Amino acid sequence: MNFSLFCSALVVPCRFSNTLATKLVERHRKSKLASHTREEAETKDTTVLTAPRDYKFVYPEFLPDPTWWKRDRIREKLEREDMMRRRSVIEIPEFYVGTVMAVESSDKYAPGKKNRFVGICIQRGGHGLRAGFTLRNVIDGQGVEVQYDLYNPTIIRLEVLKLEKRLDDELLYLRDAPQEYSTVPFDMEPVVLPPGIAVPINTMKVKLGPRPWHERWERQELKGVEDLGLPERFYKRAAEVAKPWQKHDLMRDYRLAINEDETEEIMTDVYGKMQGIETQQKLRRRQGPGPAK
Amino acid sequence: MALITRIEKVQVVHHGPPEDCTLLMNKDLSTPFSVAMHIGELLMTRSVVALVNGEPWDMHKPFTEDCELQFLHFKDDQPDIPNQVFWRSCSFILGSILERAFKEEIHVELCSFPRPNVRSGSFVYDADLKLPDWKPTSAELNCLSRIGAKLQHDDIRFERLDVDISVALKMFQDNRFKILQIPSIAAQSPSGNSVPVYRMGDHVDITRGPLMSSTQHIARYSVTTVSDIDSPDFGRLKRIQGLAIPKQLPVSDA
Amino acid sequence: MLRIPIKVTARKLPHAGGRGSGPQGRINKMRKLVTALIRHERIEGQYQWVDEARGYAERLILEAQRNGDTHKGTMEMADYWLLEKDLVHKLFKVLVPRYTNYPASFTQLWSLGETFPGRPVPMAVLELKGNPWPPVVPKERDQRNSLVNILLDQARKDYRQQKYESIAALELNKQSEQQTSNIDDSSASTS
Repeated sequence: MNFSLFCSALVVPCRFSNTLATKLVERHRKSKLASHTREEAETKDTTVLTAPRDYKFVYPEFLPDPTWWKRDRIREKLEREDMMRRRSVIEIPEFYVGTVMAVESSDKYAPGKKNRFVGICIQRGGHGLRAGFTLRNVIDGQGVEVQYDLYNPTIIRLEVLKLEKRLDDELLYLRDAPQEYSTVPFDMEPVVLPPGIAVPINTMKVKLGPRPWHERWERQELKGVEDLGLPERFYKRAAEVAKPWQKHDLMRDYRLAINEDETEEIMTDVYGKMQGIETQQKLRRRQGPGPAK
Repeated sequence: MALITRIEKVQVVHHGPPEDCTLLMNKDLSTPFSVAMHIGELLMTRSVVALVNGEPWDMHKPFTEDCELQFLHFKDDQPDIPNQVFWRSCSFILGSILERAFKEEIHVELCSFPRPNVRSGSFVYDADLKLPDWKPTSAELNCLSRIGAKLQHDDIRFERLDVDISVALKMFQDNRFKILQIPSIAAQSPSGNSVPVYRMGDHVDITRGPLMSSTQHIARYSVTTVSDIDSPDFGRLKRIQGLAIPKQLPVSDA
Repeated sequence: MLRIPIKVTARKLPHAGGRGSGPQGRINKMRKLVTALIRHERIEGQYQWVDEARGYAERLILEAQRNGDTHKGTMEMADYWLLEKDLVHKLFKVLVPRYTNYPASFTQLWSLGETFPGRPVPMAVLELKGNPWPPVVPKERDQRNSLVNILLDQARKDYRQQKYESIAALELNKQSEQQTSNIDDSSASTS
């Protein structure tokens, strides 16, 4: 007799007494005696138009505030319609934190009653009509940040000069970095990306200046920052106040975000309306710039 | 040697708990009970009758062809067939009690029992007891009941046999009622000259069937009344009535 | 979207992982409960623990169903939440197919009442739907047509019938008595 065969017959795979074999469970589950546990299956209608999966990153402001006591489905829907109405008038391009943008807004004190500001987007947030972003630039050796509301009617034109993403969700640490990291020339020419390409990610690492800082950057998990070069006690304290369990807290994530089904519903709604608006904008672009408003 | 024939196989598809399955059984040899033995003890003990191709079938009657099989018991959602079968079997048992209970000099001639009807509240056997003026006391009725109730411990099977009309006439030659009935029963059978006969232990009686699998299903059995009737065909008879409850449906004593 | 009602804020459960264990202890306790649930398909425990663990189990199965076993983040979550690693296979290969096109929640919570004697602690049973165990609430059979009930029904009907007949007989007697008395009166008046 073959020795290995003999061994395989003798050596039974060890199983703890308090564990259940999945096979056994499935057999009993499918038994007719367990007919009480079966539920009717539901078929999902797949013919409905659905938005691409990354749509919620392209238009994050359409997602409402997930705070439970601020939710109001009707207000959210009305706000979405208002946003769409604004978008049909003004072209709001796709942009991310780290994108270099130019904003032309009406300012009654400025010469020509117009103001143009160019800067790097360091923050983006807010929900619905209250969505906004912050641009940062250095002017005459002085760091300047301007906060804009995305749906502010005084904004005349939004222009993306260099579309890219950065490694972090917020670039607030640029305030503590040397000025060359946030300096953008006002006469910067728009960088045109080849069509059909994914948004490039700028993996540049920023070297922060010496302390004191605006925030304790060592306590935040920043990816776009070079080694901070702090004494050991700072990292020790950071480890003490860290909350590593939050990373895997599924229910915390669930409560702090709009859930996926609702996101899909909203984005499908948005997707349907954006199709029409985009065709209008293409037509307008082909006709050339009309009379200024 | 002629009696030993080649064993053929039939395909039996079982529907119902614990799981649907298909078995290859021996033709004219295997019974629904042997299928139950293959599947599980629960089916052996609780099944009263089987449904073979939608027809009620004895638990101990061999298969004759490929079929679909289902087992029935008293707690089914629609227990009409088991109820009827139980009632018929109890009438059959009442006949055997009447034959056994009396002294040897009293020759009891069993006549017949009508179609089982549970709603009537009692199962019935008509017989000529040769005791025209007998008014049974409660003690006597109790004795009759006990014979029936004790059968549950014996676990006697009901076995079916289709016999030829001539054999049937010979079997029941000392019973004047059965001899009168046999030709009409044989005429109703598919072949025209066979009589369905059931055996429970020593007792043999003619009935169309099916009967339940064994006497172990009886929990309570009582013979309640004996009354006089006038039958248009067979003259003056005694009608014995009883009541029984199956083991699967417990009733409180209190 | 979860198919279960959840509290708008999470329970803190400060002592779930032992006294002073804090939020990390809470998550550890939740991991143990979720692992036990996926393993045994039915667990019993304090209501607040089990109810809290229910959300995590639901979310884990939902994520597994939505993203599949090729999604890196989901696999990492499964690896974190299932302490016994053979359950990762069970999650993706057994539970996800089981709950394909499932319209309702994947788990069921049964309240067991409070413990007695001693300090009352509300207890509960949490189970995965479609488990092989006997049901917590047994299925009721339709017993109307059982032999005993047929006999009892018929007896009841007979009793009522007898009662009506006796009442009818009494009424008849009364009427006949009245009639006879009327006749007596009339005869008396004519005479």
